[in-house]
Amino acid sequence: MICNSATAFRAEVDGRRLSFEEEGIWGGVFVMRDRETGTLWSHYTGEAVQGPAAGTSLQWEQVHRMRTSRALDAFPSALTPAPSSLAPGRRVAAKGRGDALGDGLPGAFVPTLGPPQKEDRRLPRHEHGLGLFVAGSHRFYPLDRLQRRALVQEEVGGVAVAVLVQDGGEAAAAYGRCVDGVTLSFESAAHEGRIAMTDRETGSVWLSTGLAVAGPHKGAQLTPLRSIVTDWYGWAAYFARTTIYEAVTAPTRPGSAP
Amino acid sequence: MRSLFLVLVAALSAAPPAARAAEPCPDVRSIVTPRPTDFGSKEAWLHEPGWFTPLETEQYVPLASAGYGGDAQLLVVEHGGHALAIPVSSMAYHHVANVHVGRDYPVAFTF
Repeated sequence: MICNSATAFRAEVDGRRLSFEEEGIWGGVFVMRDRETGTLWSHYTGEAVQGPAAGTSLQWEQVHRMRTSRALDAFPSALTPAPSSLAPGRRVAAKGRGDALGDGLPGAFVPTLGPPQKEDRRLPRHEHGLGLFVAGSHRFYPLDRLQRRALVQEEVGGVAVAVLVQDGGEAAAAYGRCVDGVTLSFESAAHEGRIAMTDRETGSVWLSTGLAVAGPHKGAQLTPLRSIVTDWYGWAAYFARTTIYEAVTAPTRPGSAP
Repeated sequence: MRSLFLVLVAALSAAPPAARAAEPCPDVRSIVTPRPTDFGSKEAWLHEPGWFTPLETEQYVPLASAGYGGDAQLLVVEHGGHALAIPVSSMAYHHVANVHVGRDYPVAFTF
């Protein structure tokens, strides 16, 4: 919602198709109810939080946030809803709404964050970034810090991850670095004008969608890790013990080791 | 005999770490991520449904012919070789899209 958070889930549980409507706010981000069972779900995590299906989760799907030109490049046969089915668009800031809102939130949002003294203010509320949850660990990568490096490689929850900034720094994606039982290490690269990375082990070239387009791994797909591009306040309200990525070294340029 | 044993031990100890077989890394798909949320319904602000109209359609057109500008931001989900793209600007109105990717893979986009 106002936190500019895009998610997607397989809309099916136990073989039953579900359809959803927005129905309120919790933790500063919206919750939705399915029409078929009346269950309330978090749009942030896909968890059934109240109602008949409580305790189950929707299957997470990776969402690529990208410009049309990039999308046509990566998915040339993609479809889109017929324009007649779309409501008139609303303008959305590419990097969140912090500039327009300052540090503010609409009045109805604030109580859903919990007691004011518990609100995590390590970052400004509208700091936009990638929230990653893997193996029970939660980590937030501010996009501004990611832009300085383009590619970050580290271990989170014991899992070797690569976090790659996309487009003009407006989004990012996280992938596991384990391929065929080998932990790959990457260098930033460019491939035919696109953001990419090359693994040092085989020299294969990987796009920001996780697809290898050249080298021995051509055609392989890195495993996307569950993550969401979002504003800090929603992430911090959901995951109180989240860690924050700190960029402490010099910028990385294509061809250099991060 | 004892000296031969000591020589063997010394030789093995001096072997560089790189000579040892590396442990294969685990496939992240096998790692279970626990449910992360402690949902407090007392803190939720709920309202009647109908404030926003979800996007629901059975009509799709090729992205290449949709006429979105090259810089328009999209949300794209890919499944089984099919991809569906929805403009961010439209999702900011609908908040939820009950759609499918390919012929029959139901997906809820949310924003």
